[in-house]
Amino acid sequence: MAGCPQNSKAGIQMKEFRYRILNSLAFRIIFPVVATVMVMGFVLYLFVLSSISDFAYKTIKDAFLDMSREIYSVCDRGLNELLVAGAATDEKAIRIKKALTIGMIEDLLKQYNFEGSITGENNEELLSCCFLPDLQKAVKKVAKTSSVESLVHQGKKYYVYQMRFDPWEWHILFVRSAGEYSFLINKVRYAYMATGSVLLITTLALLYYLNRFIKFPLNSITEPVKRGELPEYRGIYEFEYLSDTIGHMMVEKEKLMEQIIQERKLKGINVLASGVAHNFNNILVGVLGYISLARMKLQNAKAAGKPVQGEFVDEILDNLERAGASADKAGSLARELSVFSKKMAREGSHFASVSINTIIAELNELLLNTFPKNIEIVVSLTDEDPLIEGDPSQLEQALLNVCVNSRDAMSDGGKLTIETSLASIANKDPIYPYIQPGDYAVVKIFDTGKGIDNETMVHIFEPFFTTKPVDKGTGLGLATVYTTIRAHHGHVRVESNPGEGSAFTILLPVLKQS
Amino acid sequence: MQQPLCYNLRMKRFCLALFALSLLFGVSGPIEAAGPIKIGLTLGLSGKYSEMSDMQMKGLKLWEKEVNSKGGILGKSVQVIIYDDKSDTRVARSLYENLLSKDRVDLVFGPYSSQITEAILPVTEKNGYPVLVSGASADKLWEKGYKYVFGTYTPASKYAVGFLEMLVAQDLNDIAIVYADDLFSTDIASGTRKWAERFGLRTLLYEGFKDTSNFDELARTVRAANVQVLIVCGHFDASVALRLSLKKIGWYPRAYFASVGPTMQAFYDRLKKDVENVFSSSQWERLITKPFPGCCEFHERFVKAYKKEPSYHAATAYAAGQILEAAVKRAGSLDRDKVRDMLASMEAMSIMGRYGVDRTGKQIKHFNLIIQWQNGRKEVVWPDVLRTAKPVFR
Repeated sequence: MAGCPQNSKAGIQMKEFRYRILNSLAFRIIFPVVATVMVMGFVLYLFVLSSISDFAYKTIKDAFLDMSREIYSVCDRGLNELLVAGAATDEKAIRIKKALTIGMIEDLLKQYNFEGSITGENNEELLSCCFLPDLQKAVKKVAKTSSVESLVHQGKKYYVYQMRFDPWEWHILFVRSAGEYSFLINKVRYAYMATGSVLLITTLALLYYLNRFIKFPLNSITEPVKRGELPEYRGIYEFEYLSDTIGHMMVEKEKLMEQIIQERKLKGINVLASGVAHNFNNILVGVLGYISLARMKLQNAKAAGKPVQGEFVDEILDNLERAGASADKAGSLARELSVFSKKMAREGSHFASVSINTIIAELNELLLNTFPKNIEIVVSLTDEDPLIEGDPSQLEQALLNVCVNSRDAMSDGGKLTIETSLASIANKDPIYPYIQPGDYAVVKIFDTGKGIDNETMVHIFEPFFTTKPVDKGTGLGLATVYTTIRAHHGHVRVESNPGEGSAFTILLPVLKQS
Repeated sequence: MQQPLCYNLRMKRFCLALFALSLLFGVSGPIEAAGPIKIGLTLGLSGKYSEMSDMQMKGLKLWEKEVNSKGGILGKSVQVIIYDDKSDTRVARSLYENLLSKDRVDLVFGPYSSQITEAILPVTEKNGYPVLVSGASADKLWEKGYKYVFGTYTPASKYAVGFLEMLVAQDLNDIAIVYADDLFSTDIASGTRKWAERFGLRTLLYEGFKDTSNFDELARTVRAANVQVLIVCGHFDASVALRLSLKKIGWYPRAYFASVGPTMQAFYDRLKKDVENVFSSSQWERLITKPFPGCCEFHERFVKAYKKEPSYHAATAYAAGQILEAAVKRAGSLDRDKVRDMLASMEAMSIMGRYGVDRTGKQIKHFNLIIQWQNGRKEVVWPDVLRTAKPVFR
């Protein structure tokens, strides 16, 4: 949006950053490895932890069953001793035996790290071993006879077992904290934390390795290539080979390009020479024709002894004037060629800091006064008013040439739009092959004319190439545009389809703020 | 037979290689420190625990002499190093630090009394020294989470269990418990009250006292509580003083039990005929029924060596030597962690009975005897199968 270029710029940069990260070699290699290891680690973690939890539960259950057997055995032995001593009905002996049995159960519970309680036939408490009263209440709610139950009390998990010793009508409860086994799970957690750390270190080491042995060599090759220099990497054999091959290809390409340029130059000279020859020939035909005609008329008059006077003189003068007009045309062509050749020589003596918006505004004035009224002219200028370094008259002439081209393409009227904006070219862009990365002022001129076919597009910037009638143009207008923009270190690009109008995009480097 | 030369050369090389390897990997095993096995402890040879501490020292010295006469332990002689801690916790703590750092003892025994033992345990625990406690029984010593403390005495909370059992049989249901304000005495008192409840007895008075308390006043308070039995949880002097106060106020309960003191000959020497019918708890007595091996032989050797009767303090100190000897022999090493693991897991028999501890190190296999002074003699009255006389209640 033209209203918020900063946001647009930041968005483009973010997109570019994301693109670079996601497509980086390190990401593409490490991400699948790390993701796979993480998923496997997580699944293994769940599996091992659940196994350990199951093991812990089974161990706890076994411990409770063992304890219940032990306690029952203690009670049973106490009762048997009473019976053997014939004291089964001796109230004092029973009191003593029960008290001693309770003491033995207390020792057992303490020895194996249980909490517990014994309640008698009238629900009186006979023993409370390390049992906090509120926990005891909570335990009584969940306890089931001969079954290991669990409960969470004040954030801690407990296992509970209840048993009965019917001869004395004792309800025996015992409890153990699940935390007794948490060390196992904690050990696994620590092991996984250690594994995680190792994984992290390995990942970092891998990143370093990739950076050191892959990214760095690749950068050593790609960076000079981006700058148009030959890569000269030395180190890892494969990358050396790649570097040498690319270097070799670049040299070959350079040679090929030189060859092509040479050929293009020759072709250009051919086109220029033939154009000059053709134009001058046409002009000379006119000059020579009229002079010959005048001479022939004079020779005939001399032979006939006809006096040179009256209308005859007017005829001769008319012929000479026409020859002179043709000679003037030749002079004009020669001057135009002179201007073109000066631009080709990149004359930069008039370069100064200029506002592209100002140039467009002046151009707009000119267009409004000179273009047919059936062509609507729309101008949209960027608020940032970019400054560039250049010759304002050359630039205005170049932009005028583009507009004239558009005008000629809209003989039945249409719309001509001129926009200015800013663009940032981060890398070598294949769309703009001749320009360096940096900030550019963009002038976009598009029309609703008849458009340009592919055949014409190939030759559009060649000198003397024209699709107009012979007397309508010299074929130097767009060639002048091209040479002017290149002389300003910019680039011009044309996009068009027959019947869909044309769009000329001109990029000019923005003057750097010092 | 003469071996061929090449064989001898090969053997020489082989032996040299073996020797080099043994140097490299320490195949020769750990080198034992030269000199005797040093076992250190402190006792209150002066101060309020001097009677009991003197007995403990005599018991240990007798064990030291006997174990050395049998070739020592692991082929080494034994040296018991004893310092007088003056029955003071701070002195004892400092002396234990010296034993560990200056005397560099191999192992230690605990000092006498629960209070002093409690004071030195942080030192031994911090340095990884297993302590065989042969003069303390307060339950709280094993409730602090220490890993290197192992008891030989029946815990204080169970001192009076046998006595309470006898009360049930005699229909004596109303009791008073008075206790001194030290660690050991409070543990006896709270344990006794808990067990009394289990036996269905009524604790009508439960009151603490200080060494400086007016025992006559305390005696009158007990009388006013209208109880049948008085249980005194304290040390030698309190046991004597309260007995004298009871005489002074002219009242005596149906049974008088004192936790510490009555087992000593000195108790008789102080009270003479007033010792009559006093009950107490004893970790060891000479039993002619010989329930434990070496029990009578120890008595004979002790009397022969010192010309006096051993109290249970002497016997338990001697027994502690026997237990530590068994632990070191079974561990096969003086490595303190190995000895600690052995003390934590083993069961052994000594002149005072069984040794075996729970996971906290508290003694659970040994049981106390109940004694009573009858006709100027100390008789074992509980358990029934070991008693030398029937208990007498007024």
